[in-house]
Amino acid sequence: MFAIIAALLLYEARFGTAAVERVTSAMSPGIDWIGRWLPLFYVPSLVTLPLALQALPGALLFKVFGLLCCGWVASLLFAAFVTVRIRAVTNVELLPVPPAPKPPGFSDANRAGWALALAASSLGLLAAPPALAHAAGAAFMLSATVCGFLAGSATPAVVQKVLHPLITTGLVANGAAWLLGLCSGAGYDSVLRAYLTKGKAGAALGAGDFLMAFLHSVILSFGFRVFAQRQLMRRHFAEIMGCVLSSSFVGMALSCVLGTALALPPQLSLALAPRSVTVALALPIASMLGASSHASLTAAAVMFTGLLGANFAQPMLTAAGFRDPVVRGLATAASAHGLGTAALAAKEPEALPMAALAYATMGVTSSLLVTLPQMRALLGAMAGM
Amino acid sequence: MQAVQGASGELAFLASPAAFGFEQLRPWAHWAASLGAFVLADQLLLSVAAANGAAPRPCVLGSRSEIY
Repeated sequence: MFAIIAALLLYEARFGTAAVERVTSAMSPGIDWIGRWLPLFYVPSLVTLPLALQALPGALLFKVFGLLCCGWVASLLFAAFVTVRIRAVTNVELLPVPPAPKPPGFSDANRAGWALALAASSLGLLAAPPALAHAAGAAFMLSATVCGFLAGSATPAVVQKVLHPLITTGLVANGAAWLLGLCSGAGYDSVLRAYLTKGKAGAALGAGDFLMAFLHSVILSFGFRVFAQRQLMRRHFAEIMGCVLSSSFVGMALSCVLGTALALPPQLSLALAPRSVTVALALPIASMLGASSHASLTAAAVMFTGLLGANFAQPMLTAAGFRDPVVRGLATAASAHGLGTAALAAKEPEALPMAALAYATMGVTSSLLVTLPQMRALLGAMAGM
Repeated sequence: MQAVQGASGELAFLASPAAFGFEQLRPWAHWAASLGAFVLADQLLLSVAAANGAAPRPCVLGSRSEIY
C-alpha cells in the first residue's frame, strides 16, 4: 500500500496529475468492486470466532470480556479525543470533506445468482463422491457466507444499526456450518476448522481461505484510495501520525493496566495487549511480549475487538459528538483495525482513506514499539510481571 | 535531454489506460483487467516474500506451496 502511494506520488510529480488520473481511472473498476464487497473479505475471522473463544479459560472469560469491552471503548474515545486535540494544537482547520459516493447496492442479479449457487452447492453436497466432499463443503460454505452478506446488506437501515451486515454474515455462516456438520456427521467444530485452514500442515483450503486471499488485494487497493485523498492526508498529517502513534502505545498499555486491575495473570494481559492491531501483526507482537503460548487468545481478542468496532464504533462516535470523517476514520481504525475499517466502508466512504491509512500504520507502529526493550519492559511492568 | 523527454513520454504512454486499450474495453473486461492487476500485484509480492523466506500463505491464485 505504501509503495503504491509512493509510486503514484512520484508518477504525479514526474508526469502530472492528468497522467496519474489515467492510471487511477484504469484501476477504478477493480477498486470499486473491492470496496463494494470489502466487509466480506474480513468475515472469515469472525465466522471462526467461536473456535477461538473455546481457547479462553472459562474462569477468566468474563474478566477477558470486560477488559476487551472497556479497552475498546477507551481506545476509541482516546483516539477521537487525541485527533481533535492535535488539530486544535496544530491549528489546522477542517475543510469540508467532499462526500464520497457510496458503493452501489447489490442487484437482484447478484442475489439471484448467489441464491442459485447456494441451491446448487446444497445439491452438490448430496451428490458429491467422498473424494469431492471437501470441495463441495467449501462451495456450500462460500455461497452461504456470500448469501449471508447479501441478506445482511439488504436489511433495513434500522436493523443494520444494531446488527451490521458483518455480524449477519457471521451468524448465517455459523448456521450453515452447524447444518453442514449435522448433515455430514463431521460436527460443527470440524466444519469451522475446515472453513479457514490457512493451508497449515498441508490442509486443503476452505471457503474462508478463498475470501481472505483477497485481503492483500484489498490492502493494495487502499493505496489508491489514500492517494485519492492525498491533499486531505497532507493537511491532517500531524493528526494522523499523532493519533496512530499514541493509540498504538495507549492501546497496549491500557490492556496491561486493565489486566492488572482485573487480577489477570501478566501473561494473559500481555497476550491481550495487541487487541487493536490486525491479527497478522498482533501474533508476532504478542510473541515479542513473551505471550506466544496464548496465541489463540490473542487471535480471539483481536477478532472480538473487531466485532465490537464493526457493530458499535459508528453509533458510539455519533453519541460522543465526533462527526467529522477524519476523526471517525482514525478512531475506528485505531481501535478496531480492519474489521472496523471494513464496516465503515459501506456507510461512510469519505472516512475510508483515513481509516485505511490508520489501520495499516497502526500495525507498523505497534510492531516497531515492541521491538524496543524499554517498551517491552514497561508493558511487562504494567501487566504486573 | 531530448532522449530523456522521449523516454519519459513513452513511460507516460505505457502506464496510461490507452496503452492497454482500457478505453476500448467493454466494462466487464475493464473490471477483469483492473481486478486482475491487483491479484497479480499480490502474487508478485508473494513471490518476493517467498524468495526472502516468508511463511506460506493462501493467495487467490494459490498458496505459495502450490506455486513453488
